[in-house]
Amino acid sequence: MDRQGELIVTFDGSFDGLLTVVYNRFYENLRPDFISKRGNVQQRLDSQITDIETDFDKSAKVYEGIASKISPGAIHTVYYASLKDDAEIYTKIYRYILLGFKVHGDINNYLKEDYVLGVLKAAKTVGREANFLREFIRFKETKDGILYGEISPESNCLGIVAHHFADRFLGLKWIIADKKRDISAVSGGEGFILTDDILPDIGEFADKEENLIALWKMFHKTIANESRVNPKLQTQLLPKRYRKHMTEFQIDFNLPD
Amino acid sequence: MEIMEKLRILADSAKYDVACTSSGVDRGARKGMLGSAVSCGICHSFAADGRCISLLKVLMTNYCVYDCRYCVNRVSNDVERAAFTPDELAGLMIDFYKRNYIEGLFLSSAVMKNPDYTMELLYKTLELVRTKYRFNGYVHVKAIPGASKELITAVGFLADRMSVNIELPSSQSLEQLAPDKTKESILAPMTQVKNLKIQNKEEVKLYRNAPKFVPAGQSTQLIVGATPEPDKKIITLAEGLYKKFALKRVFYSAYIPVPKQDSLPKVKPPLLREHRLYQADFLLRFYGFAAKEILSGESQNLNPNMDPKCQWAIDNISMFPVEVNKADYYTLLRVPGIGQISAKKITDARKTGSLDFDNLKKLGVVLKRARYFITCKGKMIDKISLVPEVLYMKLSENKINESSVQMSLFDLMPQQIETSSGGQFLYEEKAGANKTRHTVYGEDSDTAKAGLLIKNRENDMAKTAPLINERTSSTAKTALLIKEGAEIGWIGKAN
Repeated sequence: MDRQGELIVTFDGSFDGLLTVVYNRFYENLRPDFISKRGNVQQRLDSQITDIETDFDKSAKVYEGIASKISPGAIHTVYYASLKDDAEIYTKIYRYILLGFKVHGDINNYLKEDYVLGVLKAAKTVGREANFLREFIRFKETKDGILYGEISPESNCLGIVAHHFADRFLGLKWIIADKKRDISAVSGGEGFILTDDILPDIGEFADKEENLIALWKMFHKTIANESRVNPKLQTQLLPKRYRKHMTEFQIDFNLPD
Repeated sequence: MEIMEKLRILADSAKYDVACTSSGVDRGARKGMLGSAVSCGICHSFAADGRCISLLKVLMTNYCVYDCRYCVNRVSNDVERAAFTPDELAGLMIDFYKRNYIEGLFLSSAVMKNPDYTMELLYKTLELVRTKYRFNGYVHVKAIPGASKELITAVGFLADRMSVNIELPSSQSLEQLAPDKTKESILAPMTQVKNLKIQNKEEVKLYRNAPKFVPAGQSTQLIVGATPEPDKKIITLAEGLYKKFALKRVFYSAYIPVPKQDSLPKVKPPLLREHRLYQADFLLRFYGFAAKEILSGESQNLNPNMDPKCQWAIDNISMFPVEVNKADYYTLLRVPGIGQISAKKITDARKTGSLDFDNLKKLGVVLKRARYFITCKGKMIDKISLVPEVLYMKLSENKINESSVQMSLFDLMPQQIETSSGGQFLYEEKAGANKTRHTVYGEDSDTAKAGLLIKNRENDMAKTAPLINERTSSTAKTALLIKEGAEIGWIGKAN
């Protein structure tokens, strides 16, 4: 893409950071041609780079603005889209929000604009992956009674997944670790926190775990009808990339000591 | 007996039950309770047969006093038998739930001793799940036909969904194959559940905290292919069930004959027929179709080669093409290839300007089938003919091979009609074997249709040309085009 003499704005990659960039458009008249996560941009001789520090007061103001001037659903859309692993997405979200301030609640009808469609598609992709993980994440109980699960998603949807389990596992202790990004969601029974600290050792898994895994694997195998076997359909509905962390697809290795 | 053995036997017996949905009820977490329910349902895994695993689907027991001839668990069949105790099953289910293996429980059962005894076992299990383990997630339970009203009511207040299998599509078949069950014994609990649910709705309106009776409604299941009922009968039955009993779902299960000996070859169940029935079922539930529309003609069965919506559109071709920028939502829904999502996208997107085919593609509307039935700004996408026979050839999925005679017909069929810039239709036919090529210009699709007659009079173009000429004589331009066509050899034989 030709970016002659253009203004590139960088930020920390967080949702609040992105909203701060939008804030600067209106209050500092900073009009970026391209928005990128810090450190992900290749500077060219003729492009100018400005870095924006995340400011929670500023982002809160934009957040309010989106919810009231565009729609509460638009917040959801841009948040989900911003989690997608895609270098172009921030610029698209920025333009989506600007158009949204002009046309308000009708924004999603402007599907003919590439960036509107791009944002909606990205939000959908992220939502779909979060949904897959909500289905396919598997937990194991540790001796201390903590439910521990691992994921390695393509988009950064740990927060969305954790939100689901904060509700479902209310009162239980659980940890979800994103092995790809080295971040985790930790809950002590109510709510959860996202952290990029390295987790302390979770200890051994409970004694009954092995038997439960065997029971589940057996159930998974038995419930299939031999006369209807359809691996193509199975793969379509349960993509292979998710199977890595799934109990029922882990092969038992009975290697001699 | 080890719990592992029991699970193996009782999951194996339950696998013929179709439903594994956990949908229809939204219930957030409550303090001191375990779990939640999501109205769209959550699948947790997919088995090797591609079916979703959402619930721990097991039988309470497969000891059975009945002798239904289609069922593996019939008393006369020699199979391993087992029974869970309510404690074992409840504990196992909760452990599975905490590991996110499942969304809840699907509990069915063979009839042990008598219907009441069995229903009581189901009740005890659900009671443990709901009170001892304080489980707040999804539970689907079968009502055993013949069980007492009180038990069914009590179980209904613990479950999210209840279902009674109607098993077979007619009472005659039921008499033949399931002598211990009657139409009345099956419909009685269904009627009861329906009435209690209506009553309960009123109660919940009055008292917000009133306990809910089967909040996710009731469903049923029937076996397809074990008895001779045609599709028409089944679809009409399903429509009646949706209307009369307010069912959420009717599930169809392709009959899997159970060979007496393992050495016999395994017979493939009628999966394609089951698939077509599900497609028809969705037309009933989401697309505003009536059963008599889906199978309107003389045909008693759905066409295995084509989805029922396509078949309907071809049978009713006079209603097409539909203008994407003008047609209302329900008209769009009737276009093959356009579903609820695409129809919604179209009606939304056209508010900001009219759409063309490129816009549709960008929106993600799949044009594979829709292209034959829509216009954008008055124009069809190129190479379209609205002749039923041609459409049938193009849209047929060829799941079951056409006979060789039909295959050769395909070669004789006209292959394309193009719109020229002046809005004139151009009709072209390539007859494969003879390498004959005819092209006719017409004013509209009707004229183009007339060109079909060529098929019947291949070697007598002199007769056909005047016919077309007559139909289009209103415009001198068209006549001229035909004349020009004749001059350059478009009309008549060209080698």
